[in-house]
Amino acid sequence: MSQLTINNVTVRFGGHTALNNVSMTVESGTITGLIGPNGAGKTTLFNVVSGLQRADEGEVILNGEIVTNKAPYKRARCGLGRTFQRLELFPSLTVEENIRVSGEIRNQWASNDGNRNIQKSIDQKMEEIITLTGLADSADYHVAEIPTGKARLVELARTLMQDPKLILLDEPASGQNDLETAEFGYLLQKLTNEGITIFLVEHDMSLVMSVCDHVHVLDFGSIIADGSTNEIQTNKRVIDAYLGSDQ
Amino acid sequence: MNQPLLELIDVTAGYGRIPVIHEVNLSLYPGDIYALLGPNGGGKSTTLKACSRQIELSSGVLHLAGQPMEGVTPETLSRVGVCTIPEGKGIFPNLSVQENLVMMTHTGMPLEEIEAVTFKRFPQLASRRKQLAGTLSGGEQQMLAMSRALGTNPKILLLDELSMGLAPIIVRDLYQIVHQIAGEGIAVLVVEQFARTVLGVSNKAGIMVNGKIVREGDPSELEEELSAAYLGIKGNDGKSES
Amino acid sequence: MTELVTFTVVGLAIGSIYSIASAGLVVTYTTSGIFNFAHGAIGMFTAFIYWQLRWDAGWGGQWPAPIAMLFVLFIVAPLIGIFLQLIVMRGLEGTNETTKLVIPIAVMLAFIGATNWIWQDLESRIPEPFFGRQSKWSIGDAYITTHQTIVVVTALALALLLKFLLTKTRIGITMRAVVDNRELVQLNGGKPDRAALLSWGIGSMMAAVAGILISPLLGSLNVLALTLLVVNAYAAAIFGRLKNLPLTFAGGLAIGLSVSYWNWLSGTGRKWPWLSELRSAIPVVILFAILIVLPQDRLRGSSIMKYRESFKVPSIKSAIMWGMVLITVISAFTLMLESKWEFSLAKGISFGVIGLSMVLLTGYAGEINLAPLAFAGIGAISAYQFDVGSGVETGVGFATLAVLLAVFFGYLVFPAFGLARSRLWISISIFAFIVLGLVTLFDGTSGTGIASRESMSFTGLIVAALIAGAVGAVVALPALRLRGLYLGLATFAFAIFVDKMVYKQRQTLSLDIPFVGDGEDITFNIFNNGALNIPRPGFFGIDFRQNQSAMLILLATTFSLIALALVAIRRSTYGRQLSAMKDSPAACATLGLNMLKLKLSVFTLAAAIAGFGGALHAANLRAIQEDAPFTVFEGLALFMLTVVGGIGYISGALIGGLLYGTAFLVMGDFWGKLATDWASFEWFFTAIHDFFIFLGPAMAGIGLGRNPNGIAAQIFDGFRILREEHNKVILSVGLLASTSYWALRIAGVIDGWTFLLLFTPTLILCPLIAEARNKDFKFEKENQLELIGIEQAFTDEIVESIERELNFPTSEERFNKEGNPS
Repeated sequence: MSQLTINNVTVRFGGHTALNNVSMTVESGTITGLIGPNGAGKTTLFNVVSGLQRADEGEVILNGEIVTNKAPYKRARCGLGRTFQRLELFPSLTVEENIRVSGEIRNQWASNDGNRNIQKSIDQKMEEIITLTGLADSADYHVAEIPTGKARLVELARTLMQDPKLILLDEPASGQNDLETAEFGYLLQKLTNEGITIFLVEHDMSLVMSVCDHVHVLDFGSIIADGSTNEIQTNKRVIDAYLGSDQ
Repeated sequence: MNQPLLELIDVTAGYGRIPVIHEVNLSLYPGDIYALLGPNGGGKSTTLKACSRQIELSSGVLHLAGQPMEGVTPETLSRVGVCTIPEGKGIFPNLSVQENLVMMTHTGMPLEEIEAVTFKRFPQLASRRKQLAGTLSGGEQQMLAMSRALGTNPKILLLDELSMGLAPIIVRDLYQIVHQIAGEGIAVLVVEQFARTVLGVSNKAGIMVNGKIVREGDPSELEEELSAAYLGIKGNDGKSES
Repeated sequence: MTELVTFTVVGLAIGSIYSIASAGLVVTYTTSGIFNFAHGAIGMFTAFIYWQLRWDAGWGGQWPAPIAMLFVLFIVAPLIGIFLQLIVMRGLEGTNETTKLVIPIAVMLAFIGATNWIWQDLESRIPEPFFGRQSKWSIGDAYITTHQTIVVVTALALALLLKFLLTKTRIGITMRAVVDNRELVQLNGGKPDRAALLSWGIGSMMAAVAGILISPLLGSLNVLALTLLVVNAYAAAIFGRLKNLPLTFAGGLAIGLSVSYWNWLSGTGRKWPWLSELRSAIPVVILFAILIVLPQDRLRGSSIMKYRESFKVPSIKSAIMWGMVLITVISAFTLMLESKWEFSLAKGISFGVIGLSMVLLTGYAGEINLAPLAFAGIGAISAYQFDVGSGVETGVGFATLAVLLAVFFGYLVFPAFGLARSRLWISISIFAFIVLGLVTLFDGTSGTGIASRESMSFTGLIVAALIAGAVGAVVALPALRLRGLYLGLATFAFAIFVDKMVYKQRQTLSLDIPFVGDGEDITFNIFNNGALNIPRPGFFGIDFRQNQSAMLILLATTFSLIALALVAIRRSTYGRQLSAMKDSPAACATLGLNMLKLKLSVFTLAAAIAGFGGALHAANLRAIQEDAPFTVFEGLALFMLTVVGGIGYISGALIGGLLYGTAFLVMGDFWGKLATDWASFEWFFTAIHDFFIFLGPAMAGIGLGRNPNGIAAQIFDGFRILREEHNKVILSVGLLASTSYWALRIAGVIDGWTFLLLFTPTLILCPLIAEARNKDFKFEKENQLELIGIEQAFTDEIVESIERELNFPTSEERFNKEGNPS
């Protein structure tokens, strides 16, 4: 079953077409990668999915529900989480508060919408997630004081407090060192085992190639290839996209 | 004549407190086309901005023709002959073609001369001189940007991602012009993601990963390592392949 | 037909002036990214100078019009613009949004203060139109004055000139290029700074043209009225979206015409006088409307890594402690202060209470409100109407009002605090009961006549807060999508609206609540005759009417309690959500937060605090007038000084309030006293006195408004050192000294000024001494060269300092020598 379906999405900025008739699916329980050269439209696609960017054409289907015209916060309530390439943390708050406020927001809307399962104890949930992401040592720091690699984990932890079904990760490895990236890959696999679907934009190919079940390649706003990691690595069009055409 | 026109010595630079490039060394000689390649976020554009002084150096020095450049502004550099064409937006979209050319006269070249060179080289721009630059096609916009390199007689040309968003055939044409410019003794630094296009015209290349130039050498030698650096074929960090 | 022509011509003339002014605003905004709030004040200031040169027989000396005109337009105005850009505005690049608002506001207040200072005496200054009032020509039966003709022609000429400059000259093209891409201009070898300088020069020239042309239409020159007239042009600039000059010109004409036609159509306005009064508010109504309709930026991530201000949050415990300290200190002061000084101090603290609303709204939630005192004024009026004015006639009428308010708050505000929908109705009912309970408990309401008490009841204060809060929500509702500058302008428009339509309102309004009572249940005359006599509070068995000390302690206690509530809010989930919204709206949206509700609730809450504080402030003053103390300019000054104090801190509000309400007056008084004591230096001391009175707040804003953390943070840092163990001695000596000054003052040994002269240095010196001592301490500890490397690690700085100590060339110098063999 597909967690996310994107049908014929087109986005134009003035005369420039950022996404051109893009269609793809993200299957439940997988780690799906989205790669492509700079300026290919990857972050724009994420913005369309999370609702921060309106699509000029096409539709977004989240878990069987058409969400194309829904506000970002309503999509989040359908179980969609995301992180940002340019960190969007809350610098006024500590690491712990950043994570806590997410759980609090979730409990609030869950209780307002009725009949959803409210987490009984935010503290308990938070402790689990902080242990899982390895942020225990940094919990009391302000987010401005921790290195970028850790800050990426805070964004992920914040999203996890929402109990999302699908997480969009926008370049989570940038700013992380090799060791951190390796641990991060391991963490992602653990999350999929718990039933979370992950959609990953990443430039660090070692991460993409090691964790992804399926990879889509975007170039000039169009999907030029998709397949397993091995297929992608040997795909001529992909290599051309990265290295320039040989004609 | 074996003094480099442009030289970066142990340059560390970045945005705010966070360094992006670490102790980078780079020299450009007259007639060089140096291709700086590598994956995204590797620090290529930052290196170029360090050369044009759009960002401050946190340590290290920039030499132009042997002279240390300290506390210079980008506008001074452009007046002494460093022509920088930034990534994707080398033109003013809300000015007409003509007005874009007027802006180039800040370097000291008279308008007539810039117009003559530009319209000779790119005749299709002549018929669009009243049109807003933002409404030109991508290729024409890049031609307009390149006409600054042609019309203002720079000594050093810095090009950031010239090929971004352009059809391969146009890219090839543009690099033919770059090749010709270099032939007049101008040093050219090209930052590119589309490596193959540049490898044909450049005579030197460097691969930049994680803020460091991990490999420098003849372009033809580098091609294999490049696809490894981009697509992350396992066990490769740019050095241990050979 | 004749009327149509006449009103059209009048509208075109005013519209042309708006067009000119707004074009100037747009030119500066596009090239520098700063919305010049001072634009109106520059127009006003230059109009005064022109008047002085052209019409006054005094030091100007009646120059011929063309010479005076040329002098003002081509020398004075450009110099003002260039000076502003060089000294003040250039440093604003890359600063945060609040700073970009506060500094131009400070400049505006500086021009207003300077004009009031220079043209102090109350003579009436009447500028004549060009070629006199009689010079006119006619179309059919309609007369058109030469002045109107000149105005329209000037606007046309300026429009053409601007077009020529911006499209045909290199510097003009560069100015436009800066808007597109500042960095690329530099890469082209252009100088963005020079373009900015020119744009500021042109901008203030346009403001001057507008000011000089509009002043004859006003009758006598009036500082605030003239400034506000030019401010009307802001709507036109927003109509052009702050970048499109043709649209801006069209917008200016449209506004001028609508004001004029409104005048015509509403006629003398016998039936609904307020309809014709609305004409003066039309431009701001249009401004508000345009802002709301204007497409907004979508939520986007921050483009650069921002180094935001970081405000420390006190714990509840320390908030309680500091609250008690404040109450104790103020109580101690009441024993030694004359009631005049108690009154000034009370003014400062009640401004501080209003300032707390800004701490919540701007400091915690990041929403800008330039109308804090409009809400305060509404609070004061509400309390008056409830307690003294004709107000609510029947208890049933009030009960209905209470229930309406309860439903309103329950539906809009409570859900944002995390209240579940299922419990909503219960909470609304409880809330309504509490409000009603307060009324009956504290007022003994039994059917008729709550009105006409001699003192303000506690319920009156609650009503003030509720109504101000409700108005806050109504204002915020359409403005919720706005952020930053646009939100600031929308609230600014609201403040002007309140100035024109509420404080100047003289009609009796009545309201019949259906099915309740008989006839008119609520009638009130909003602002009697330009002044309301607000009663002092009298509740809890204490009479504050004659007792200024009690009033002062009441205010200090109120401040402490509201401050405590704010700290509790900031530490609750609600407060965390506010911070989150301020830091990253985009991230909040992806966490499922509905920010509209959150914004609405925080606006309501802040307006309620402002209303509560406003009622207390008015009670302390005993009366409010249409032109004081809750006008738009005073609101801007308080906002500015709260930012100076530190808008993210509770103490920032206190500092801001004390600066505004107390400090500058006390300083003025001090120098004023010196002026009378030492007659031979009178001119000197009078000048200093005037400086503090007229320019004090503005200069504080310009000088200190840039620090996003405010001076509260600096003061904390300064005094924190006293808490270190080895500085305990200094702390106790300081406390002892202060207490003994106080005792001496109580005993009557020293007078108030001596106390101030002893106390202030003690306060300043203690942390300075501690810091000096600390330095010695560290010097002894660190400066033993032989221990470096053993007790602490070698760092680059240490190596450098050793090299310097031993006179070696530093590594950098060595490097330069080697790197440069020639």
